[in-house]
Amino acid sequence: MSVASIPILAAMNSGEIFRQALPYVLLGVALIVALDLAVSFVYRGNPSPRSKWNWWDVLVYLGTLGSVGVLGFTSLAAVVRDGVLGGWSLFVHMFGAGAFTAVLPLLALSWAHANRAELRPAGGQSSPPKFCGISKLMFWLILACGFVVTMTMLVSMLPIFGSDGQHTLLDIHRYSGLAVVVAAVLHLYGVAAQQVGLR
Amino acid sequence: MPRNSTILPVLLMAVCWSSALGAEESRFTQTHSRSQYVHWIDLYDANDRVIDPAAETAAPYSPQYTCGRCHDYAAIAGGHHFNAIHKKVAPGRPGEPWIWTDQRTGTQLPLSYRGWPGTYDPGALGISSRDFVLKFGRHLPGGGPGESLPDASEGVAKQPEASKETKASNDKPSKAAAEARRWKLSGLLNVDCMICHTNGNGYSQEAWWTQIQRENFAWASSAAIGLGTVEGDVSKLPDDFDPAKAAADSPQKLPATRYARERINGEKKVFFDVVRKPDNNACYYCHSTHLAGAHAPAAWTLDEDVHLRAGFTCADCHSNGIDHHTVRSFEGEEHPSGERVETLSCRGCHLGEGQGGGRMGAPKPLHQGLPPLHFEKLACTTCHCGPEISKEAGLLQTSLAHGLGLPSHETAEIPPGIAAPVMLRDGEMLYPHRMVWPAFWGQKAGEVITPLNPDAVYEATRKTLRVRRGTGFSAAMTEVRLTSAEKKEILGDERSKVKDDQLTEEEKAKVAEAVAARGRDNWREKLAAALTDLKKIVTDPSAEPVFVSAGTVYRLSGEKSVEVFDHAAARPYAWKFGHDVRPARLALGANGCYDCHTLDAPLFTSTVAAMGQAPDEAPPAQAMYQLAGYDKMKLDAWALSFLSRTAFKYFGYGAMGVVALVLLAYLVQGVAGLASFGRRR
Repeated sequence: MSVASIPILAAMNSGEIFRQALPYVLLGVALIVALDLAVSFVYRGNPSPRSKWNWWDVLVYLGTLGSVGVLGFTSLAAVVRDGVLGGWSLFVHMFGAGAFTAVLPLLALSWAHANRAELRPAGGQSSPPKFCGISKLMFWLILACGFVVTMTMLVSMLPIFGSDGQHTLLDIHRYSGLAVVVAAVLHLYGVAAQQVGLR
Repeated sequence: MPRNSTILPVLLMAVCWSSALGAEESRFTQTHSRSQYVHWIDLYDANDRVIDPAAETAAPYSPQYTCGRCHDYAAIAGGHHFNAIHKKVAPGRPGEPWIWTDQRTGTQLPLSYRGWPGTYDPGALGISSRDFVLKFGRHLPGGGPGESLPDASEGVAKQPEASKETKASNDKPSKAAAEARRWKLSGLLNVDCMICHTNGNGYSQEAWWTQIQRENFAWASSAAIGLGTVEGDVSKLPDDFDPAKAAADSPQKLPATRYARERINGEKKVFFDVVRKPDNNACYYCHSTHLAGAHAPAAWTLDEDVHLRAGFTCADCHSNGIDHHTVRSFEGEEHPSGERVETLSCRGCHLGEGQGGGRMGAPKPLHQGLPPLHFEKLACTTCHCGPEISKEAGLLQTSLAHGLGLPSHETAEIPPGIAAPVMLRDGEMLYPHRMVWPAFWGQKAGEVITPLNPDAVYEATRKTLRVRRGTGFSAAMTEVRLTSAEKKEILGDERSKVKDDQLTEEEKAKVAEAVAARGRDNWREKLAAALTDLKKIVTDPSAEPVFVSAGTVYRLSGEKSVEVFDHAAARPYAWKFGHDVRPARLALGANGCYDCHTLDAPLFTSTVAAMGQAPDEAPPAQAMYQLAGYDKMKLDAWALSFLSRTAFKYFGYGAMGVVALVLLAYLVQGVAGLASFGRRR
């Protein structure tokens, strides 16, 4: 089998490579979830005690999921369908980006403390943690990749980077955006698993 | 000995092989040097006989046999500038058509032998190759129709079906026969190599055109390069003139050539100041444009193409080999030779798409801050080429359409009206175009409208239309003088006797309004009468005569009334253009996103009004976005979103600053925690 016969390797531009890679990534996420679910059901123990969410937590989380959902749907659907993001999809994507830019600092300020890593139980801790390990990890991933995905577009709006730089920024934007979507899906899965008592 | 017996045949074979290689000689000559060969050469006439240029009168030199002595004339004559008439040649990307313009009939008919959609094949309209040469010879480089005799068959344009049918009529065979006789007298209009390859400004296109107008086709090359003087006028000779039988002292004789003594050396060779790569001046004769109209900037305020300013010549990019398949330098061009020519297009040379680019020191543009998406939607020419876009598309004149390059006393906006730049999409990409609206008298059979032969139309309608020389079609159609009774009706008894320049402004306006109204009536009357006249020459009994102009079609609706309707035949013909290239600082978008992303950006809202020769007070007009097929709501939505773009940038940086601080704080905290954990263990 030659390299040219493998579509993802034969793709000549980074946009096409991303398009070819996208189904595999989404399939990978689905497999991880399915595998974890299976393992969780087989080795199901007592769920850990969790602190309850307040209304602000819910609001910020819905805002994050909503904006990531809009961004993910408009971009990934357009890329799969047309190969490029343009027209009304790009327009809606742009407004989703505005919402995401607004909600990300709120998420950071509100949730960072609850998602900090603890190497051992803190002495004298009164309330149980809000999130399981996978959710914490995904939170920091959303935050870090969200920062990258937003900055790449903000920087590209400045007359600093030429076409080559713009292409690089766009590539970083693509993959960090995909990472945010994947992290948000896995975070949602972690939260859902907590809710049904799997964590 | 056995060893020698092996070596000998091998040596013999090697000698034979090298001899065979040496024998691979071309009939044609090359120097393979970058230095220019000095052309002191013999002249040959159209019968391939050496000319004695020192003789009192001599035959005109034939480029075919003089230049063709050393250069492959047949290959050259198949090149891009000469091969349109050959039907086997691929049509290529639609380009500028030849526009048959006749102010006597209000005709402006885009013609092309290449079959570009929206143009008409001259042969199908009964326009012979000779008619074509006599109409457009001013800007023909010879060859093509100039060498296409009526009986030529192999590879040459065949008469289309429409004109085959008309051959059955009485006058057509006689026209063909008469033309065959005239071709014998005028000779062929060979590809004139010197029209492009003259060094300096020694070639006179005016002399070339003068000889063509006199039907001295074979003499045009000799006169144009100033090799000598030509006396005589084939157009004054009768069709049946026989040079062999003409008396020596007869005033009727073929033109005579007297070669200039200073161009001839002692060996009776003639000096041709030849340059291998044509000078820009030669290209400009046929490829100049001139902005016209009331709002056109003065020519001296405009710069030429930025590449030429940088020292390039046209032929640096639009180059060719001996086959003369001149590269047109657009993206995706497939060269007939099979050579890859990507690097001679904008993207290929500047962006390195294809073979690498960077030729002749082409800089790679940075396009700082411009999202890459733009390169999937806009051609380079959209932002960088042609006159800057204003609220209305400009009026443009071109060499081919308006005869630029020849001295003229015309100062008015002479037809055809060509609009530029007009932004149209080809697939997803937006390109600047030039656009012309066909105007012609034709016949409508079923749903198909085809033009009638322009000369036949003139003959049929000249008594009705009566357009005097120097008067535009529109002016002639609306020209009226109010009778004294009409003046009385408008101004009253007393004031009607006052001279026009003594009238008040209000009275003048009243008179002008009345004149305009009468002019409109006059036009309609003449139009109806002319359409009635054309019934005589409409070839299809089921067809009706029509007049197409400025995006509208007119036909008879009663004995003396006309009606208008829409039809595809009235749609404009548009072609892409690539010059003049403006420098980066004058490109669209150089001032930022708001050059295009505003509600009233000329790129999308500039209007293009149809232009014809018929008097039309309200020709159909469209905005660029309509012509390009863009969704206005989407454009406006984008434009509005850009209003808050700057604020969004500040907000975005602020928000990301907060996120960065949180990430940094917890990263430091994490690292410190890890260090503390490590120490405790």
